[in-house]
Order: sequence, then structure tokens, then C-alpha cells
Amino acid sequence: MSDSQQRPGSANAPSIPLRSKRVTAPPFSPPPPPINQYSMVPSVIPGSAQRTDRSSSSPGRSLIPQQRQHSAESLLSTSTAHQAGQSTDASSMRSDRASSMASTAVADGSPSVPSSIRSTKSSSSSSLSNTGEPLVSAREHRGELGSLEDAFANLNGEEVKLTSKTVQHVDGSTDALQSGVLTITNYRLIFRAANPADSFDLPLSFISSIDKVSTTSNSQNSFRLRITCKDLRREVFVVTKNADQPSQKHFLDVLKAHAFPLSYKRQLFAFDYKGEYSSEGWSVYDAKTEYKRQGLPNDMWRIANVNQKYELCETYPSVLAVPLNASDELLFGVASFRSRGRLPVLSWIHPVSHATITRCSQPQVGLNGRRSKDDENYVKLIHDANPSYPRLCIMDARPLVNAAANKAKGGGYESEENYPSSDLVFLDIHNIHVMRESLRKVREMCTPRIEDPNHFYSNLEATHWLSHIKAILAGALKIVDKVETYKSSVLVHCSDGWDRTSQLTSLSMIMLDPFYRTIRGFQVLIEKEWVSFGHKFAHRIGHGEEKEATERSPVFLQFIDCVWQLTEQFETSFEFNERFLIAIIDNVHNCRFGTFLSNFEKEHGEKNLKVKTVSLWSYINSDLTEYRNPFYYQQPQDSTGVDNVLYPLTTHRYLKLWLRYYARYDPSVKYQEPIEERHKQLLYALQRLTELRDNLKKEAAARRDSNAKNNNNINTIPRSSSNHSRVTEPVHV
Amino acid sequence: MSTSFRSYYNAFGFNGQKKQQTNSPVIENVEFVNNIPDVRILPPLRHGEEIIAQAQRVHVFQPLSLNNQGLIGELYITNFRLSFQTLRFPDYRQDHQAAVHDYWHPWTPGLIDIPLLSIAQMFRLSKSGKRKPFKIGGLKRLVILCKNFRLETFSFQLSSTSDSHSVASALSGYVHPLEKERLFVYHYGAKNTNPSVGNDTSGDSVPSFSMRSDWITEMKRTDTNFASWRILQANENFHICSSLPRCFVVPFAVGEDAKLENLCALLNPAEERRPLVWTWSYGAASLCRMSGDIDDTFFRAVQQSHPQRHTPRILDVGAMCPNIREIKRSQEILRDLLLVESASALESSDDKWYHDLESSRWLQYVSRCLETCRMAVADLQKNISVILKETGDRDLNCAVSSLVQLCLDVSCRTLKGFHRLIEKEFVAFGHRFRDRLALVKTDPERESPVFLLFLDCVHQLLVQNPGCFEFTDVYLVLLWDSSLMGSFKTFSMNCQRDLQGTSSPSMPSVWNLSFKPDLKESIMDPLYTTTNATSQLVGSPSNVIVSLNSNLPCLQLWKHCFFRFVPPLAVSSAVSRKSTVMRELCHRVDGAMAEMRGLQNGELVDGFANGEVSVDGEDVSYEDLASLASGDSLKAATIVRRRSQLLRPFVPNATSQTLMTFQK
Repeated sequence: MSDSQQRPGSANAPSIPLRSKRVTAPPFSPPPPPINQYSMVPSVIPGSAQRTDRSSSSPGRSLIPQQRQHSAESLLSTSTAHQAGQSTDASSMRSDRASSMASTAVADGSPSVPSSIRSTKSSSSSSLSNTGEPLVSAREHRGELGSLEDAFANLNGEEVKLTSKTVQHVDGSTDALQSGVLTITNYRLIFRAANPADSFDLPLSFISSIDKVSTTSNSQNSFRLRITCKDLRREVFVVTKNADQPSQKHFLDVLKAHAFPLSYKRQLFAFDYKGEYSSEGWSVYDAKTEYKRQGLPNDMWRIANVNQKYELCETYPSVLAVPLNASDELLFGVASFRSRGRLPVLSWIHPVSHATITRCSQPQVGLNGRRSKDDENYVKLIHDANPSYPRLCIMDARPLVNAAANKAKGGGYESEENYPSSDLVFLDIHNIHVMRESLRKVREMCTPRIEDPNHFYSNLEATHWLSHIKAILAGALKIVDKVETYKSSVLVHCSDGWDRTSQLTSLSMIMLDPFYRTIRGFQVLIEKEWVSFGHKFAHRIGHGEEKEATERSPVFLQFIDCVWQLTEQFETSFEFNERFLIAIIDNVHNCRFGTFLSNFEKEHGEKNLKVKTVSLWSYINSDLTEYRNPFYYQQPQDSTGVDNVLYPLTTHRYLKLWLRYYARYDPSVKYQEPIEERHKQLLYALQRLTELRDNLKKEAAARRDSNAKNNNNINTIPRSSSNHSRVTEPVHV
Repeated sequence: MSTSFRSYYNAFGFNGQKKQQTNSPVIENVEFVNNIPDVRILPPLRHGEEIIAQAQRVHVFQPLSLNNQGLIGELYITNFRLSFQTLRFPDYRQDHQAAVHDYWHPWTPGLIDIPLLSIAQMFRLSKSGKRKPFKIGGLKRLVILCKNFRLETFSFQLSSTSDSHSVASALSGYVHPLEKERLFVYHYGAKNTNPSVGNDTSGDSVPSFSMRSDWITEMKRTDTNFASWRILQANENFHICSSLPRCFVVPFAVGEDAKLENLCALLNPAEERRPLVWTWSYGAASLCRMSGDIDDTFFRAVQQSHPQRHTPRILDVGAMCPNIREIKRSQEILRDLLLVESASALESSDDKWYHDLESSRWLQYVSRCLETCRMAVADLQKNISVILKETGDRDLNCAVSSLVQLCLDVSCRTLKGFHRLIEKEFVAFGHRFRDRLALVKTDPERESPVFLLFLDCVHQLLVQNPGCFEFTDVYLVLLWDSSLMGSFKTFSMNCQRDLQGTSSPSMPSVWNLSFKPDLKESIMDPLYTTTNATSQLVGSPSNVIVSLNSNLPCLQLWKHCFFRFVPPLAVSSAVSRKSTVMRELCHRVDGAMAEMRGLQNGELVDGFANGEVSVDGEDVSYEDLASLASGDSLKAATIVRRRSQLLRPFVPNATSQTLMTFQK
């Protein structure tokens, strides 16, 4: 399967356009981006292409700032020209790819640009404004506000709900007011400023809360609106009263109704969206295929269909892997003893030692120390299924105190007396409320820009965010060590087994199994351990709800952050790059695709999401060029053992704050590894050289032919045509 | 005891107490090497190197082992280094050395070779594990802290008292020598009969900027107007300014030599009456350095040197950058943070790592230096001359001035150019290497690792601009090590006057350091040449100006330098596959370029007509490109070997217990 995966990317790889307009007088201009490449991408929505054409014929902004940057005046301000050049390049490059990613920046009329690029948009603008450079050419200043109104491309299913010209945007770093046209659709908020660099898009489902902020001045006619987003972004608008325009109240009503559709009895945008992609994302994961890949069923484990109607456990998938000798009756017995019926089932099995990772929820021990013979027998079966090691390790993700406190609520943990062949380990990972609070502190630290850089590290420590990341990674590493070094089976649970448990099982599976480090495998992992095992995405993210319920928590974001830490330490072990991770996390917040809309598999089916919505993977898999890690090295299939297992360093000395995600709206943060950019450039250079070589080859062949015909002396013939010698002239090594 | 047992064994119990009698160590843990005569393994000696003392049956402990695991061997003290020799180093040492192999200095090839001058502090260790001040006399246990973030612990409990006594006195005599003549560079110079080691006689040697011709070359190179600037030769006897070279460049408008002398006589004697000097030009604008408050005459003279008479900008480097005491304090805190003695201490300190890191302020200082540089660069780009002002003009001015040139001057980013830059800005203008690096016992107030701070700033530039520098950060680490050896004239003097009356030509220069081919490969960045060569072809940005982000959160701790000797944290970048992929790709592009040139010159390759043109022995096609991107075409064997080093970070004891290091 890896082969078939490799192909499409390989075909794309050489044609990565590496243009830069910074070369003033190149001997030949770099070729135009291979547009036909992208036109094959089905994400281009009919109608949008037309708009793109139109907008790109108007003076695009991409060229102007670049050339200004090239004058090197503003070059060494905190951001870099190189980067700005790339960002605008990238945006123009992708302009025909229909808007796709969540937090999008539409500036030059290109429908939308991935959020990762959005940050550099702001970076180029602010670096310029720092030095007082006018960003926009005179031509653009003449542009009427009215013409900005429709300067964006609708997604298929997107409708304009409101347009207002009296709303001003407050720049996060300078507090300056920017006038423009604000459009609200059922999908996003679009702000088009006279200065294109200040324009941006904001998918409405990112919005976590909308607050009116009282202002000192003009409070009669205007109010400030602060929009806080789930991805740590924060935008402030000033709404002014104006007779010609929609009233302030109407504006607020429309905004809220579409930002929180569920609270206002509307449906999420995903049900309106009708994107079409070449790849079918819903078929990425099939439970039976995945268990088959792991070698199941085997002589110890079977695939159970007992949960076909979700009667055994409502929040579990329909297909479960359980010990061979566990009868269906036993399963029901166990489920009655485990919190919410989430009985221990298999997540992963070691291909050689058959040590397993199983997951479940806490046992309902309670204050009276209840026991369940069924549960004890069942745990014994899991233990017996792995003859390699005499003990079973039970990892309780919680701190011991929390686990003990849960007894009062009827929960608890396995006592080693009742489960004689087991060792119990507590992993000290805190609950969702602690994590939410921690992320709030990260937000305060990073938005709108990193405050007080000199105290960056102590501020960082005060958020405890990386301490939590460390605890999770260390916990996963303990599981990996047990499974790989001791060949011991591990049973993982927390309270309900859908937050910390998912983090631990999926991370340890990534460390143990190289398959999950591929693009396809990672998608399978998310579908399996998170979506199908009921991570409650709808509650944790709070899709479309106005009320900020205490159920919300950045558990999945933490998992992605942990994966990012792994990619930083093992830069060649992952097929995907940082942009892939950002695309996933953005689309978790974004209600455009159906993948993360439900709480568990049963609900997924009831809502008929597979039919009514598009899968995120359809979108991502339809063009993977952007998401591939150029430094990925795939292990040879037959090599097993230690090299296939990642043992990350979980010390703070090696953990980093993911600035390119958390602080991506800070102009000083680069959006991409410069080395990756170099790699692309070299690939492009190699491609150019190959082309040139082929040309010369043809020429030489032609020359040889004519030589043969004319019987001329080879020396009298010009060695190569003037055209080519000019082309290759600047190539001096 | 005639048997030579040299092995990794557990000599002591948990509390560091000896389990048994001195001469009968724990038998079951000892690997006896029979039939091997008790041969002493002498370390290979350099010119002028002599063994001063030696001790047998010395233990060196495993790092982070709480001093209860180690190996036994012989300890030699020469006039250059401390060298521990044993028949076979255990795996943990060799693994560690393999992991950070690239950072091993060619002058200290052994696994435990420590130049004596790189030692920052020495302690005796009491039985309870407390550090006591070092003194001459019988040693039981010795802790050595190095300036380059290394910690080694030795035990002399099995060796004779006379041995440990002689080691102690040798160390006390050579570690912080009282006079500069005891630096190894003088010994080497006296014994060295081959002057080419010190002074490269070939044409492309690094100029010392002590001769008029060096400055003429430099002024021509930077397109400087000879009508505006003048090379002053009156400092032949260092009587105008003792810390400046014999020749230096001043504004023409200042006037004749005599006038300048009079001017200098009025300057502050505490600052060695140092006048304003020119150091570099960027177009019409110039970069000048000045000590203390600027004299109006000089200021106007600089203004007049500018073709448009733009008012020069004075950058108060002294105020904007950290001072030498702050830098020293910072490095000390950083060193204490890094040099921990046990895995558990490493673990317990981990939770307050960010706080500790911040309290060291190291990154803050790096950020401030880069910010100062950024401002100077911005002014120069606006065609405004910049005068760097710092009391003394011998510390941070050197660093900032060099950084500015690295940002703006392409030629400084080659290895040769970097040599020239350091020779000019640091060595010629009198950075007090000997005092600042405390090679000779000096007032602690004068000690400060300004040079390390500078190297870290360069490292940040390297990280932010891949492919813009010809060298890698491996070279910077080796340069830092070289500076602490006291064996190169480049880094052993306070100013050029110190070289007067010495046999300086025979002293080794750090620029002539020769590296083994594999080390050479990790020093040079292949991306640099390839990027340069292809930049026109692909229209990629040229490397004229590097970008610079001085924002602290975006700076990176220099892990390769700081974590090098802490085994579990030491992960080598030079063997990382990322760079292997880049290297491979560069080779291919280079090969393709070579082929292109060949074709242009009409050298038709034989297989050419048949369409079998090969690049680097392999056919280049789109498929190859693609497979290159996915990494298939790489030699699996080497990759797998390298990956195994990369994947499993070195753990002192590869048992699962220690895997748990750094976990709660």
C-alpha cells in the first residue's frame, strides 16, 4: 500500500514551482507555475475559477509587496523578505485551488490560502508597516470599497448573508482602525480592507465567543466586538451606527446565528457544503481491514460483531477486537462493570511478541470496593493472551488522587488484590478542565503577539502547557517501553476512556508502529482511536454552540501537539509535515467537513454524516504535495526491532512550544522551516537542469545528424545554439 | 595486582562507598583481560607536549551515574591536556563519542582528553559527595568542570598516594597558569621547527591586518574610497594605542599622523586612548568602531568621509548589549544548569528548566546582540554610516561588528571569509581572548565568554538561513573548543602587541587546523555551494543579505554546543538524515551542473548520444527525483546505521529503568 501511496506524490514532486520574483534580471524567467497540475485537483469549484480569473486580472497585491521587499529596505525587521516572498508566491501559486483550509486569508482575490500561510500575510504587512513602507501601490488605493464586496470565491454551498461597510477592524498589534467591507456568509466572515494586506477570512465555526467590549469614546454610536477563536486567534471590530447600513443589532444577530448555528436552530455548514474531490475520504478507515493489517483475528483474539447495534456500548465502534475466549455474555457482564460500558478492547497488537495495548474506562469500584467476577476473568483473558510476559500492566492515566476521588462517584481503579496478575501504574495526566485552563494561558501569552519576549520562558512555564505535553508523552513512552522492552501487555484507561486514553493509545501506537507515521496510517489512527472510539469531538470542540460548556477541552490539540514534538525529534520518521497537522487541527475546529462533527460512531451513523457531508480526508488526500515531509525515510519492510520504535526524549530541554501554530498570527514567527524551502528549490533546480540537459541532448543529436549529412568538420559548427548557451551561462559552479 | 582489568564495572556501592578491599574489587562484575601484558598506553603527543604527571588505576566515572559506575585506566597530565587512557572504552563512552563524533576536536582525539586550559573549576569530592576546594596533596576524588560544559569525575582510591599527589600538583601548576609564557602555544612554538604550521606561506593565508597591504586589500575589497579613509602606519611601536594593530584605518579628514597623535593623547587613558577606526564599508556608508564617548572631531570626520555627508548614526553597543559581567554570570548559571551529576538531578531540575533557562538570560543576551546588529544593518542599508560605541571597543563591538558583516557581506560567509572576519574584528582589534577566556589566572572580573556569545549569535544566523553559510555549526563548536586550548596564537593573545618578541610565525594558527575528511564533511555545508550555483537557475533568492530574527521566542538554544557532553541529551545533528537527504540532493545538483558545463564546452560524453547520460553515476530522471524525495535511492545500510544512532538517543544504561529518565 505504501507503494500506491508514493506514486501520486512522486509525480507531483518535481513540479513544485519554486518561483521567486526577487531575482531582478534573470537570464530567463522562471517558468509559470504548472497550472495544469492544480486544475486537475477537483477541489476547484465551478464558478470559483471564474472569479479567480477576474480577481487575478485586477492588480494583484502579490507582486507589489515583494518587489518592495526586494529593495531590502525593510528586510531585516523582525520578519524576512524571503518569507514574505514565499508567502505571496504560495498564495498566487495556489490561487486556483479552491478555498480549502479553515482559517483563510483572502487578499489578492485568490479564493483562499491555507491558514499556515495566513500568518505570513500578516507578517509581511506588519514588517512593512514597521518601517513605514507603504504597502499598496497607488493603483490599489484608487480601488473603490464597493469593488471589494464580491472579491472572494464562494465555496459550493456558501451564501452571503450580510454585507456591511461600517465595520472597522482593529489591528491586533498597532490598535489602528482599518476600514473595509465585512461580509458574513453561512461559512465565514470575510473582511476586505482597502489595504489588501489587512484583508482576511475567518471561518465562523472557529469562533468560540463574541463579546461586546465597552469603549470609552463614541460609545453612543459604536461598540467594540471582540471575537475569540478556538485556535487562539482574537479579532476586534468596531461597529458603528449608520442609517444606510444594517442596524447594529441585526449585524450581531446574523453573526451569532451563523457562528453558533446549533444554538440558533440552524444546521452546521458541513451539511450545506458540497465540495467534490477525487479521493473518497470516508473509505480511508475500515475497522476490519485495520485489524487484519495488525494480524487479527489470530489464535488469541477475535473480531466481535456484538456491538453491531451499539447495544453493548453506545460510545464504542461496532467492530471490536476482544480475546478469543471471551463469550458475548461475558462481554456484557464486563461492560456493566465499566463506566459507560466501555469495556477493555484491543487497540494494537505487537506483530512479533503479541503484546497488546487495550483500552477501556475505569471500573465502577465505588466506595464499597465493588468487584465483578466477569471483569476480573476478562482482564485475566487479556493477560493470558500474551504468553511473553507474566504480568499485565494497567496504566491509569490519572493522578492517583483523582483516581481515588473518583471512587466517591462510583468509579475508581483496579486493586492489585482483585487483579492478581496486574501491576497498576498512575501516569499523572490531569483532566480536561486543567488542560482547558492551561490552553487559555497559552492564548493569553501568544495573542495577538507574544508579549514580553524577555520573559517568554517563565511565562511559558506558568502556562504548564508543556508540562502536560511532557506528562502525556512520558506516559506513552512508558507504554511503549512496557510493550517493546518487556513484551508486556498494557491496559490503558482514565475515567471514561475517551480523552487521555485516546491520547495515550494513539501516541504509543505511533511510536511503536511505523504505519501510523505515514499519511494514510495517521488518518487511520485518528479515525480509529479518536473518531470511532468516541472522543466526543462535538462536545470537546463545541461545534456551533454559543455556550462555552465545561465539556470543551483541547484534548485532541494536545495529541496533535505531541505528534508535532515527535516530528521535531524524529524529523525523518514521519511521512507528513507540520502543515498536515495544522490542516487537521484547523479542520477539527472548522465545520466544513463531517469527519469530526459527531461524538461517537453511533451518532455519526444516525446523523448520516457519510452521506450528507464530505470527509476531511477527501479534501486532504486529493492533493498531498503540500503535506509531504521531504525528509521522510521509509524503513525497509523487513527491518524490525529497535529502529522501528521511537523513543522520544520527554525532557523539557527538548520540548518546544509550537510557535508556528499557537503564535501563527504573530508576525515574527516564521511559517515554514527554511530548510524545507531550500529542499524544494534544489528539487526545482534539478528539474531545470534535467530539462536543459534534454534540450542540449536533442540539439546534439540534431547536430550529429546534420554532421552526418553534410560531412562537415564538427569544429566549424557552433557548439550550441545561442539560445541555450545564454540560458546556461549563469550557471557557474 | 599484575592483572590488567580494564573494564566497566561497578566498583562502589550505592553510596559511593567501597564494597571491598582496595586491591580486590568486586570480582563478579569485572571482566578480566588475561594474557595481555600490562602495557601502558601513552597518549600520542604533539610538538612540545610533555608528560608532567601520571597516575595508574584511576577511575573515571560514567556521566550521570552518581559516581558508582566507571572504568579504570591510566591518567596522564601533560603540559597541554589531561588524558585518560584505557585499553577499551566501554560501550556507553563509545556510543556517546559516536553520537557527537563530529564535535570532537582533532587536537583532543581521545575519548577523555581535556585541554588543561579549558578547565573552569576543580573540586575534591568528600565521602558524602560534597565538593571541597581543590588543593595540592593526596587526592581521593576529583571533579573537573570545563568551560565547554563538560563534567568528569575521577577517583584515585585504587592508585597510590604519590601518583595522585603528583597529579594534583601538576594540575594546580598548569590549569590556571600565572604567566602567559606557560600557555601551550609558547611550548609548541619553541619546539616547532616547521614554520608552515603557524604561518601559511601560500597566497591565500588569512591576513593578520598588521600590515599596510592587508588593509589595502580590505579597502579595495569593500570598494572603499581611498580619498576618504587613510591607512595610519604611525602605530608601529604601539605608542598611539597599545591595543590596536600596527596599521589601522582612520577618516582622512582627521588629518596627519601628528594631529591624530595629539587627538589620541586627549582621549581617555582608561580606554587606552583608543581612536575611532574604520572597519568596513557598505556602499558609501561605513562601519566604524569607537571606544567611549565620541570626540567631535572624529564624528565630523566620519561625516565628511561620506560622499553625501550623511550624519552617521552612533549605536551605543555598550548600552544595548549585555556587558561582560552579565555575560559571565549568564554562562556560569547556564553551566550549572547543564553540568548535573546524576540522572535524577537532571530529572528533578527538568520541571523548572524554562525558569532556570530564563534566569540565565543567555538567550536574552543573544537576542539583544542580534537586535543591535539588526539596527546597524538597517542603518547601513539606508546608506547611513554607523559608529559602534563601546567602552574599550574590545568586546561586544567585535561581536556586533562581525555580525553586521556576516549579514551584509557575502564573502564573510565562506570559511576563508569567516577566518578573515574574526582575525580582523576580534584578533587585530584586540579582543582580550586570554583574559576573557581566563586562559591565564586573571582577575575574575576580566573573564567573560564574549566569544561564545558571538558564536551563538552566528549559530542563530545559521539556523535561520540554511544554505547561506559555507560552514556549519559543527565548525563553530570546534572553534569554541579551539579557543579554550591556549594552543593557538589566534586565541591566546590579548592584542597584537602581545606577539611582539615571540616566535609567532612558528605558533600554530587555528585557521590552519586540519580536519579529517569525514569531519571536514560535517564542517562544510554542501547546501552553500549548491545553492549559490543554482540560485540564478531557479531564480531563488540570492544570498546577498541574510534574514535576521532577533525575537527571543524564535531563537533556539544551541543544543549541539551545550548538551554535547550530557550523554542522554546529546543528539548529533550532523548525522541527521535531514542533512543526509540535503547532502545527497546537493551532490546530484552539483553533478548535473558539472555535466551542463561539460556539455556547454562541447565535451560530449560517450553515452550521451545513447541517452545514457549519468549524473554522479546514476541516471537522473523524474522518477529519481521523486524517489529522492521519498528517500528510496539512498544507501540503506549507512542510513540504517545512522538512524539507529539518531533514533535511540544515547542512554547511559540501556535498560528500561533509565529509559524512564525524565519522566515524572
